[in-house]
Amino acid sequence: MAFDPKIKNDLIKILDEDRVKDDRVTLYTYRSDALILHPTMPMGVVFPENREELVAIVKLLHANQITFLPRGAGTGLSGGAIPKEGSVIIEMFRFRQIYDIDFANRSITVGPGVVNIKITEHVKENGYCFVPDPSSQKACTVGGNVAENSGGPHTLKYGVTVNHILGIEVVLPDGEVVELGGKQWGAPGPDLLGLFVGSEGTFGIVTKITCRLTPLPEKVITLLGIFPSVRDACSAVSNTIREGIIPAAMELIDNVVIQAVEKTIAPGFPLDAEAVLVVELEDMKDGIEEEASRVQAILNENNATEVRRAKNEEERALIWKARKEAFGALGTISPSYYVQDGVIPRSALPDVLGQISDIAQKYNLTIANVFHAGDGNLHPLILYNSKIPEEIEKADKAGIEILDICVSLGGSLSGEHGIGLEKQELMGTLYSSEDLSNMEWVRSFFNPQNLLNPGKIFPTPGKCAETKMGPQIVQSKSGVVA
Amino acid sequence: MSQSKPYAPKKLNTLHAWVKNRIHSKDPFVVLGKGTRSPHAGQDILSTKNLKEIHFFDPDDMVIGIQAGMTAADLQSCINKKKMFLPINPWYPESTIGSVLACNDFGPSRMNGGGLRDCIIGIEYINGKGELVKAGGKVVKNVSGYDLSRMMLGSLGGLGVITSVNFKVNPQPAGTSVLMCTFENDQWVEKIRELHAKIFPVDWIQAMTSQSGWILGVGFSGNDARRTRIEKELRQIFEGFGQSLDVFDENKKVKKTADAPGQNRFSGFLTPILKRFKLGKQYLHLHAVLPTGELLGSLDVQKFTLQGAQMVVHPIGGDFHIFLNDETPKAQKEMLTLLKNQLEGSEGKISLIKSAPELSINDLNEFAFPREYSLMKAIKQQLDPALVFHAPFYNY
Ligand SMILES: Cc1cc2nc3c(=O)[nH]c(=O)nc-3n(C[C@H](O)[C@H](O)[C@H](O)COP(=O)(O)OP(=O)(O)OC[C@H]3O[C@@H](n4cnc5c(N)ncnc54)[C@H](O)[C@@H]3O)c2cc1C
Ligand SMILES: Cc1cc2nc3c(=O)[nH]c(=O)nc-3n(C[C@H](O)[C@H](O)[C@H](O)COP(=O)(O)OP(=O)(O)OC[C@H]3O[C@@H](n4cnc5c(N)ncnc54)[C@H](O)[C@@H]3O)c2cc1C
Repeated sequence: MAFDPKIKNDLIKILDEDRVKDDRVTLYTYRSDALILHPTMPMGVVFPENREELVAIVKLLHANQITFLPRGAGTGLSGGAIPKEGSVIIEMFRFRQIYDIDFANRSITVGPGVVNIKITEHVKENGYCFVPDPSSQKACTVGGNVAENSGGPHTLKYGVTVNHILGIEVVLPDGEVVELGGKQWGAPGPDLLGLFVGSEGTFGIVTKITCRLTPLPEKVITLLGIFPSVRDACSAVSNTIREGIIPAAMELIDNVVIQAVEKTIAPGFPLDAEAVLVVELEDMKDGIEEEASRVQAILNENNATEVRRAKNEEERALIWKARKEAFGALGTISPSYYVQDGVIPRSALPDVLGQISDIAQKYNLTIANVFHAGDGNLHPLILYNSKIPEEIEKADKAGIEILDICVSLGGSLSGEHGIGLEKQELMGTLYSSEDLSNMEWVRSFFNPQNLLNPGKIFPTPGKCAETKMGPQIVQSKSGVVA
Repeated sequence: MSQSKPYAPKKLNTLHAWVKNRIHSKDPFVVLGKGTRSPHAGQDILSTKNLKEIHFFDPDDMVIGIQAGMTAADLQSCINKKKMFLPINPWYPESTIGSVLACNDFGPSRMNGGGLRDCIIGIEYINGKGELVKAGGKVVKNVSGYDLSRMMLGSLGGLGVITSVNFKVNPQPAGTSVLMCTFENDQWVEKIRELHAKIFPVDWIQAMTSQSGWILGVGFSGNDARRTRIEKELRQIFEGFGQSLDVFDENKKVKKTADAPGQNRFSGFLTPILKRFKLGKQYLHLHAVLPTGELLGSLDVQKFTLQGAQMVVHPIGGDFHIFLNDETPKAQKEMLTLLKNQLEGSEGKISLIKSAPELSINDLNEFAFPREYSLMKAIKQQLDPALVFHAPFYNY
């Protein structure tokens, strides 16, 4: 794959030679996002820096009926930024402007290429933060967060990305620029902004984002419950919420992950614990101690062998480092892994974790769990060796069985990573064909010729889950690029 | 062929078959809940008010799924029984949930609890092809496919017939309190500016006009220690400025706080306020939204009251209601002109909720329409190809 010489020439007229690339190294680098399911070389990669350049590129590609897709940092876990049809990748990482910080409206307007964590860094001193905090927040872009409607540990209390976006500017697939929302909280008419967030880069390319800022809490208490069984830890989660306490975060880490993070980050989690539960409470300093005592009691009532409390910011940071870098740490105990993102009703957690363990036994595989327990958002990491074809097949089947359980319990295929290429063939298990064609109908409004990010979210006609998922994992050394 | 009475079937499949037929014969109709919010002279009316089933309510998972005809009051009482609440504010207890969604109603609780967008997790509706379709689901976190439930928020009956909805609900806080403070004039704006700058976790703020000026309510919640601290901080800001100041624990003094939006923790019904305003039949009701900074920075609320308006203001989040009891079109038009002048150059938008028949959305000019209005019109054209879902909002 490479650009047609005429197209390349036209692109160079808009950008310059340095920012229009189709050399082999570039194409190879951009063949996938963080999920190397089935890497596909793009036709080429372009690097616009502002809206005018982007509009000109989009109009050119549109006029020539060439498919294209935006890419942020490429940390997506569902293949959203994989150029399925050898499309042109539009790298959005250079849209890094901070346009406007407006404390009176508690908002910040940024370019989509701004890295998630940079937003909070900009406003922290003034007592604010940007709530969505995916574990990838040191790398992923706000544009990617908007596209995927990303979550993170602290979205349990405060809601996912859509709840923190006030307005966006978008370039539609024919080059038209539109604005959705603004600094006011809502306006008459259908909530098109709410619809756009989570559309996985298939409606338009976001060029500006006004994010809502949230006041930082006065006090944060981080508890670490240590449990002799995963079931007990899950019960503690359900019972805490049942009591009407919604912590800022409730994250479960099982023994496999404990072993891995102790090798890399060494947060001091007991190696013989079957699970640890990170519970973070944040609020005003008055009243929070009572809540923390109550949570502590609930953890104890659910058989916690010990409940620790981070004594200072360093201890807290270490716990969160272990949680947020857990995926990477698994590299020390397995050559490859495949992460799922299904959601179940929270009260079903204790049973479902048991079922996941049964699935692991059935396929003779190890499945690690580190996930947003408070939301019922599972992240089973299926460990396998990509050099052993049978293991690949088993990992694939185990993944489907886990998602089957989620769907059968009234849950969903994805809580935050999106459908992308990874789970598109499973969408039929969740929705009827009419539901799906209705969604495609809405897409065809924004993206009538399907030139923007084609081949995502919806099942490919004539394919089914079993035949699709299997071979996809074959090429991947690891489910996630380090 | 115009129906005099709304058609309001009790069964979903009967309603679905009726809509399919209308689409097939390209025969427009208006979909309503109970149907008094806007006049629809000469249109056939379909009402979803008799679809009242509860599909599921799982307090442990904090989710509920109901049909669109359930009233706001019934939903409130259902979830209250299990000590849950929804931080949305339907304006009237009798409003059906379908219409609350279609109007994207919100009130004071949006400040801290978010609006409908933040608690809707799934939807079922009949689309412009006559298909009964679903999106989202019944778990609290879900990114499987497009979130069409959000597209239907604010759709004003123009994109389809909403038949069911799933919500994420919240556990009720340990306790709720309200600080009530009265002011002779608009000094409260200055005080709210101060409060806003303090980054303080209150749940809602609502100011409304009274016979002697303004009543300001600030709601807060949590355990005793939390509320005691917030009360202390609020007193520091407000004491000595208002004419009277009182803090009520809602659990104990409900009567005294009957106007407060936090009442019963569902909050925000306009009904008690409207009673207090003693409105006649054809009063003017305008609803405006604008950025908080602009409301607190440059809006002059006294101008409206001097011209006879009664108001309900939610300063943070930035929205306010204007009521004018004067039924003459002239007075109502003047009030609207005043509002438009005040919002000139801002991002502010206006909805005309109720007025003398001489006023219409046309009088709002660009203030009626968000920036993305042309996109809204276009999506309506695409998703309602038979043009059956009659909804005036899209016709300008
Ligand atoms: C180790 C690790 C941990 C993770 N943890 C979490 C987590 O806790 N929670 C979570 O939700 N996710 C998590 N993720 C997934 C991922 O980081 C998020 O989905 C993130 O939002 C992707 O951002 P990105 O900039 O990398 O986007 P990319 O991967 O580059 O793109 C993702 C999608 O967004 C589209 N897109 C990108 N930019 C734009 C734009 N400007 N306009 C329109 N569409 C655009 C792309 O086309 C693509 O479809 C994790 C990933 C990794 C590798
Ligand atoms: C001025 C005024 C004063 C009122 N005062 C009181 C009062 O004092 N006390 C009291 O209890 N009630 C009061 N009400 C409310 C009223 O009695 C009912 O609550 C109301 O009719 C219920 O419907 P609605 O007005 O909310 O919406 P409707 O008029 O039924 O509909 C509003 C909008 O929603 C759309 N819509 C409705 N249902 C659907 C659906 N299923 N799918 C798609 N779109 C839909 C409609 O097309 C319309 O655009 C008042 C109403 C008004 C207008």
